[in-house]
Amino acid sequence: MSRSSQFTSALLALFLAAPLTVAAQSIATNSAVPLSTRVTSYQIDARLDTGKKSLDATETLTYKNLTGQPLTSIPFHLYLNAFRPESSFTRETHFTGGIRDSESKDEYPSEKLGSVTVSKIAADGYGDLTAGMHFTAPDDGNRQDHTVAEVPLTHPLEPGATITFHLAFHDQFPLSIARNGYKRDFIMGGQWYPKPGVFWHGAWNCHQYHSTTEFFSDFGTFTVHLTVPERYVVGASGVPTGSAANADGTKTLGFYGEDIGDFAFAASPHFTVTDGVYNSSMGPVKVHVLALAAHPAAGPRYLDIIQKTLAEFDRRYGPYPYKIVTVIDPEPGSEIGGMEYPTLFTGATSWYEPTYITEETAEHEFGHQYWYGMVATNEFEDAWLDEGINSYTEVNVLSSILGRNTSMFNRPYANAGDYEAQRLEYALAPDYDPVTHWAFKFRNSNSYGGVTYGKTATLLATLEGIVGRDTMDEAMHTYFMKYRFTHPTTEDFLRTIEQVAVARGRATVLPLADLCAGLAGCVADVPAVNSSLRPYFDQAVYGTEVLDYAVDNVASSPVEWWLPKPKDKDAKKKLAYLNAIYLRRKGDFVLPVTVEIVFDDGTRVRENWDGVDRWKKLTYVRRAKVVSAEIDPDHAVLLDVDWFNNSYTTKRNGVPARKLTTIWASMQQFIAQLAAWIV
Amino acid sequence: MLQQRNLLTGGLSLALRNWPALVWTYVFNLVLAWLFTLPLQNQLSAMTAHSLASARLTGAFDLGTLGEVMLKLSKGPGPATMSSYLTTPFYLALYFFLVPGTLFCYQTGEPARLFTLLRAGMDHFWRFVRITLVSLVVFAAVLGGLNALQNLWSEHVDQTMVGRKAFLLELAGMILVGLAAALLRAYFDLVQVYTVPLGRMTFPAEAGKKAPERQIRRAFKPAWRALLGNFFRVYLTFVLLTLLGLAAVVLTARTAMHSLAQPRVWPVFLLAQLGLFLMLLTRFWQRGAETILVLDNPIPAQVIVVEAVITEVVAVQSVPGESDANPAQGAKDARSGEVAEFSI
Repeated sequence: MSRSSQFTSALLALFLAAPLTVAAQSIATNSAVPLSTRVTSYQIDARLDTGKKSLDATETLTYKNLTGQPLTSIPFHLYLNAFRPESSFTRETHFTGGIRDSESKDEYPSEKLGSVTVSKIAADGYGDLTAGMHFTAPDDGNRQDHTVAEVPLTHPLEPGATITFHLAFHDQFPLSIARNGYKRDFIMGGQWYPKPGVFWHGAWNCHQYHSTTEFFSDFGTFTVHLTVPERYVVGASGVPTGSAANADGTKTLGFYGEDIGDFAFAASPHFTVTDGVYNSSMGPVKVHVLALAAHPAAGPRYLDIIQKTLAEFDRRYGPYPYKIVTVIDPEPGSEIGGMEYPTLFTGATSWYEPTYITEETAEHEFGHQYWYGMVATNEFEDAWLDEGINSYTEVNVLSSILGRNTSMFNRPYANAGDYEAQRLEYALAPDYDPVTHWAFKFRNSNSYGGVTYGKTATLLATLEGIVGRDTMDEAMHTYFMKYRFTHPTTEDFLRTIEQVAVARGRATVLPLADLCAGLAGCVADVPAVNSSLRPYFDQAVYGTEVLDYAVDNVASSPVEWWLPKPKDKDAKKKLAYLNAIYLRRKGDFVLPVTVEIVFDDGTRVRENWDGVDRWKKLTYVRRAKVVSAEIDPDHAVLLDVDWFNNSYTTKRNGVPARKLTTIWASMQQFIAQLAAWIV
Repeated sequence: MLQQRNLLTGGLSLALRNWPALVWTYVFNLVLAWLFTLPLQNQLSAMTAHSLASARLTGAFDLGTLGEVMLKLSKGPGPATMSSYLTTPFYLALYFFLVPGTLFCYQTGEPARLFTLLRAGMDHFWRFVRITLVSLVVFAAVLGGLNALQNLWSEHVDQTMVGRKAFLLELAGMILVGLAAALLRAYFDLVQVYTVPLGRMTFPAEAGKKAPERQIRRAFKPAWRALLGNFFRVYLTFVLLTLLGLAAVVLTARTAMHSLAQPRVWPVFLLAQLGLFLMLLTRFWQRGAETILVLDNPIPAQVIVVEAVITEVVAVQSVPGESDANPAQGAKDARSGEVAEFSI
């Protein structure tokens, strides 16, 4: 060992010791006590080769058996192995599309090859386990998929006992693909180290990496040291614990995180730092923005939106307990933007970005700190509980900050709201899969995206219309506070809403027999809480029914139609009309709705329709004619896939059609003139 | 001695004096676009005219509602936007009549009546189609190569830098490709302009007979000579007028965009049409400038056997053999000044 190496080792030893000292003071969170059940503890020393885009590391992992039963083997995620043509991830991406990359070509580019190679794995008291390690494919049996490896133990790990693994591994990062890899001289280290699965509901839960899936892991602590070239700036999960320069032109950076389930880092020589502080209800939170120098406006924009978002989340759902959140501005053109990791996320912006996409992405990824990071649902099996709920809270938080109808684009001449974007995403693929499908069992990536993100956000917004905003906010707050750091399931979430809604008088408890009355496809095995919301959940959450109500027809005719029409105004006013409004349920989704009828004497009438029958006729005999009829006049039922047929007005409005036709026809004229220029 | 008239003023003067050609071209484009957009208008009307939801496209321009309209259209019974795509091919077909007709009027001083435009257009239609085919081959070869270089440049820029600087460097590459395209376009414009007088001449054919010139190749050389001899004048004029046209479209489109939220459609319509009209005007201005250049640089007399055949003779030529049989009659009908303009 050379002198410089010895010096480095001494420094590293200091870094290693530092977190142990400061952990007791909780340098990573604003909590005096542990927030989670810490199953794992990682100590990783890694050296990043920015030229070869690779990394060599040693990992000491302490795993505590809290399963209540002896364990004979432990499965590990090796996510980087997904970036090979043989993997299930690439196979699915190629054939059914990926959420970030299609890989639709018939050749796999060599620069997109990625891998994690475990050269050694041993455990204290168990010896060298390397020879026994083997790949498994619990989801699809693809033997060439190397994203899960099982390590048999030489003797069982008893309940309550702890095992300490020692691993050595080598990462080869791919050219940016699915949240990971490098772009130019930027490197994103996500899912880069061997990580055990989660023993959950009596069995190991360690799914392969799929084209649409994200992640699931136990909580623990991370002490990580990264050695990178001196010129690199690094952002990582947890709090920075120090930096030491090495003799070889590198530096070693320390990070420490606790009560987190994963650790990621991003490194670039082009980062500029913009820092700020938000004083949460648990203590100060440092907002640490690492934005590219090429994006001079990004730093202040990210900082501003995250400070406002922290305030909204604190007020609505609960406190952010960590002492830091790091925002990474990745290289443009990479597949790395818009991804969440504990206490760190990547945004997405550009040197010219006139919309609110920068803010929307930052808010969304920050929101994951709550639903993926702390509540930590199983993203393989209950993706909607993270991505969907996060999309719903994104709409509400951005509406508060940027305005409901202007949260994506706000100009005097045009506007767009985030809730509409979610609705549209849902409407593109509304009925292939229920939101509760496992992420890798969706029909394709479009259905996964439309349903998991768009439909969930839309169905929860509709639910908000049913139970009221205050009730929904309280339910979300209760859910977060009750289930943070616990890996809850779909029913945990739904029951929380039911309990809050019942307590607030916005839902009622139903006898079992009433639950499925008149509902096709109603789920037979009803859960413990049987509220009046259950039919909605059965259709919107567990079902694929499409909601589409329409005003089919509006007609007003004189009651005494056979008499000649009066000519003077007074007589006309006294004329009685038979007004008929036909409503129709076009979709299979049954939901009670409100209808508002406006008459030409200015009166408004609201009616309720249970929606059970396929159609309903409303009739009124009045000395007035119907001007308009509208289903859902408060626009609360966002799940309705067609808002244009929800109303009918007798006053014709030709402006929208003429406006859109003018735009389209002018574009055609322009294209024709341009084509004529070419020929 | 050859004249060296100002291309910009001379071209504008020709374009304005022959304003009906411009107006007819604009009107045809407008009518075709609206005609083929009628099915879309009907479908949009059926969707929005009696719905309260369309209010967000009346006194506002809500992009989410617009997205919903597009989604509904895509899921509708038929692709309503499909028919509107016919505008371009139909317009291009008409354009092959109107451009030679316009150039004919520019060169001969004939009033640019629709009948004259179309009649002259019919005479030259296939020549212009052939020129277009040749130009497309040349465009594909030259611009294809340049585009490949541009892609390499873009890749290089993308690998080494990001942000505004990268954007500007990539844009510079695209502008160079655009300038090359403008040069090719200017040349083939000149070929088209030279083709019109050549098309009205007869040449000694095989067996001593005289036949109307149907070859377009005879126009390539004079066009090349005229371009090289007046390179900066021609090229700068062409590029300037192209930029003027694009600027007009961009400015009016931007202004029209700012009127989208108004509950009135006519400001958007008028602004859009103004931009399109100005863009077309600059194109006709370019054609006028090129005509001035061609008139100032006629095909040398010794190269061809001049047998001028002007407007009325074109009509006579439509009866095969008649004009050949009695060229003197054609010459008698010709106006001598016009003959001199393009033959000497």
